[in-house]
Amino acid sequence: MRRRIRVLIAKPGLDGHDRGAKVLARALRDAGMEVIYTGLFQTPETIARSAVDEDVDVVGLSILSGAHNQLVPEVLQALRSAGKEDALVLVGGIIPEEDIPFLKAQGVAEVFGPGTPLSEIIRFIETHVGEPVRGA
Amino acid sequence: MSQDLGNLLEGVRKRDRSSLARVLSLLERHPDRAQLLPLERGGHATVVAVAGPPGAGKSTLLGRLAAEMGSGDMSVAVLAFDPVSPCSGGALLGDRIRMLDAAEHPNVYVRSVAARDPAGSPVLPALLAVLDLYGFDVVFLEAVGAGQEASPLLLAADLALLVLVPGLGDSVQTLKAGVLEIADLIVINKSDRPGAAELVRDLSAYYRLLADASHPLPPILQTVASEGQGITAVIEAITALRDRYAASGILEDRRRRATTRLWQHSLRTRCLRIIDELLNDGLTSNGSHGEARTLERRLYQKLAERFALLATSSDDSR
Repeated sequence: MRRRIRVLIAKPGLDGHDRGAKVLARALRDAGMEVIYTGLFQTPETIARSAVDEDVDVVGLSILSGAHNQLVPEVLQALRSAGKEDALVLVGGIIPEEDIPFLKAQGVAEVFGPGTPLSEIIRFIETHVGEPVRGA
Repeated sequence: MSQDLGNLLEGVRKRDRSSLARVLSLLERHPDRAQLLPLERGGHATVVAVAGPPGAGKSTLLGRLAAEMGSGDMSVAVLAFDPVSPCSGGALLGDRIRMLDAAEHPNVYVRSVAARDPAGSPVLPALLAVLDLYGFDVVFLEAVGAGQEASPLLLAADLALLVLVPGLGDSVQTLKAGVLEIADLIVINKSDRPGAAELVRDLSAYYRLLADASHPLPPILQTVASEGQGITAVIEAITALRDRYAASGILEDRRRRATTRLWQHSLRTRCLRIIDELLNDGLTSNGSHGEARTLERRLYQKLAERFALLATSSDDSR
């Protein structure tokens, strides 16, 4: 059987807008992936726990609140503490260009801003799935 | 790879969640390997299948049940099955979102499963064996929200819990020939809505007609899962039923039959897949009786060839 890519989509922290996350979840489903959608207001620990228990290949974080420089390192740290180092971590949302190198240095594989074609995200996942969390 | 499986099973035995998660993935991805698993169900875990129409609140109820059981020092696993897209083969698994509070509890393990291949039944016994090895006290199998048809999940379970809600009206009628007959416990969720008392009354009347010695009346309980109301009573009912079935031998009997039925189900699925394959393989009729008859014969011929091949092939050609 062809290997199904399992993706966790979560929104850490305090922002209440999940339209983008839902659209992406749907698009990944239509690309043949298994998408576990856990929705709004997630703590880094909950996200790590979900990633371990669901044994996902990809963790997609949607952040529109501007707190990404705080939240993303916390999520990555929680994933490492939970022993989940084999997941590809992606960030989507409103992320200023100048913050991207920092996030990538922390271990994020890619950052997708507004207007990114869904096909580009799908292609990225299909190409890079299986690459572990890098960074500090 | 089988070395991997050995190590992972050792991890499961030591109650390592990440090993558990990985074994389940391995079995899902390689159903053929399920047969190689050197495991039988240990029989410790009580397996409860949960069925009911979409939106009845199965996930929310399970979240509450799991959280309360977990706080009471029981270890609980929830396998939440969700439908697979018939178009892409992908799936959006949205049950976990209803159980996030429970899923944070150290005694609770929630796993979303894409219900591929009618509940992945060749794999189901292996999944249950692994969960048993980990030492869960209770395993909930949340069926895809349909409920009319007895899914393989219900065949595999020790107890069948049916979740209904007021206001579905005639759907109770359609349920009558299905899971209502094999439910051990009925939960009327969203019981703060109008019509709950009527539903309880209708169901009680229905079961009074059905009941005989071999099929005791299932308890009918009311909950408002989103508010946490009625949860303790459901847990008590599950425990009481399990004890009663264990004492009377029903449990043992069910488990023995489950093994046979799941095996039969898996064979049936494989046979049907071959039939579907042949039917989809250009077998179309213009509607004339003669032609249809010819095509039918050709189908039987091809089936005979395929099945003969399967009968003689020594290895597993899945």
